[in-house]
Amino acid sequence: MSAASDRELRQAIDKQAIRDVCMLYCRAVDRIDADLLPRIFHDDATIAFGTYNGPASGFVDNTFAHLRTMERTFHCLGNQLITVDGDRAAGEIYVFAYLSSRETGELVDTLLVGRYLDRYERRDGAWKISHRAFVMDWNQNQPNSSEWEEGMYGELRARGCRGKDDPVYGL
Amino acid sequence: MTAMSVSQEEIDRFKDRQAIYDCLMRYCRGVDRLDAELLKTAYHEGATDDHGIFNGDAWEFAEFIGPFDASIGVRQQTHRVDHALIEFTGPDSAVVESYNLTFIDAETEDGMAAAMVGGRYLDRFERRNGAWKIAHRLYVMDWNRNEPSTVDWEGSFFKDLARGRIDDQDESFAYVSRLR
Repeated sequence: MSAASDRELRQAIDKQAIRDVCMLYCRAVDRIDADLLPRIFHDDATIAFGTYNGPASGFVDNTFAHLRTMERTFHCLGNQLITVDGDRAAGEIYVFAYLSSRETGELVDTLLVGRYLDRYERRDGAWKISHRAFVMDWNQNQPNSSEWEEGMYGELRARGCRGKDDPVYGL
Repeated sequence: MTAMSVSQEEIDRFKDRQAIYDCLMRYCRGVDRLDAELLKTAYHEGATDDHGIFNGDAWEFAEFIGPFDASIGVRQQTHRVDHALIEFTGPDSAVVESYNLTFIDAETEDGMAAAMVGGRYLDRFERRNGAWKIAHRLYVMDWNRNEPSTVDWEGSFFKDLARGRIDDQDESFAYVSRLR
């Protein structure tokens, strides 16, 4: 195999590894699972979310605390544009989030669309985030209209939740 | 670090991930076009699906879902898998969490209802005879929104757009006849 094609393969595989980190992040925030954070952020990583700006070591006390003010969250990723240069990489990751929270007693559903702007580094063979910023592009807010027991919904008995009781941990 | 070489294992896993991703996409196409035969190609023979509305043999689920959708008045639907976290548990096995957004318009006694459902497919994938397919699937619902439909097929520029169908008359069949 030529050196050029080897380099292309290396980049494709590195991008895959970085996408895995981004997807694992979604599991960490939706399940509020601090155990996953060491696989996602380097020790000296930084966050620029607007709601929290600072070292990733403050993620639990800040971002997780903020998430806990909401009843449920769902972060799913769309586009993941990543460029790799050796042991460094940058990414623009589209996210669609459903956030359900209580404001003045009423449950409100927020659909929030934005992008994570990331820098990644490979250290000791592992790609992780060294810096993550969030940019909001769009949001929509409406009264909650969830149905849990009506019709078909009543039969969908497996439900997502926070913590280790979520079915994903039984996989 | 200069260019790290690529191991054969990394190349193999890269291909495995692609095969698993293709299988997830085949499922979505199968369920959105109500193509039972395509849907079956996402599951191994003897696979199981714990889907709430159905719990049992996955190939039976593939036959069940069309009549079920008709029974609840589904007129339009689209199942997206937006991201899928694949973790290998052995040479020929993986566990996969894929995030799913489903949009449904259904005819009800109160008129057309629009539903948006967020959930996850929790899959155990296995490679058998060289093919990665689902051995067991659990569908988990995370949230939903329900409103009277505001769908508009005739107004503004909508009237100029080709319209998806949940059967074999969908436009996509004219482009790719063998999405298997």
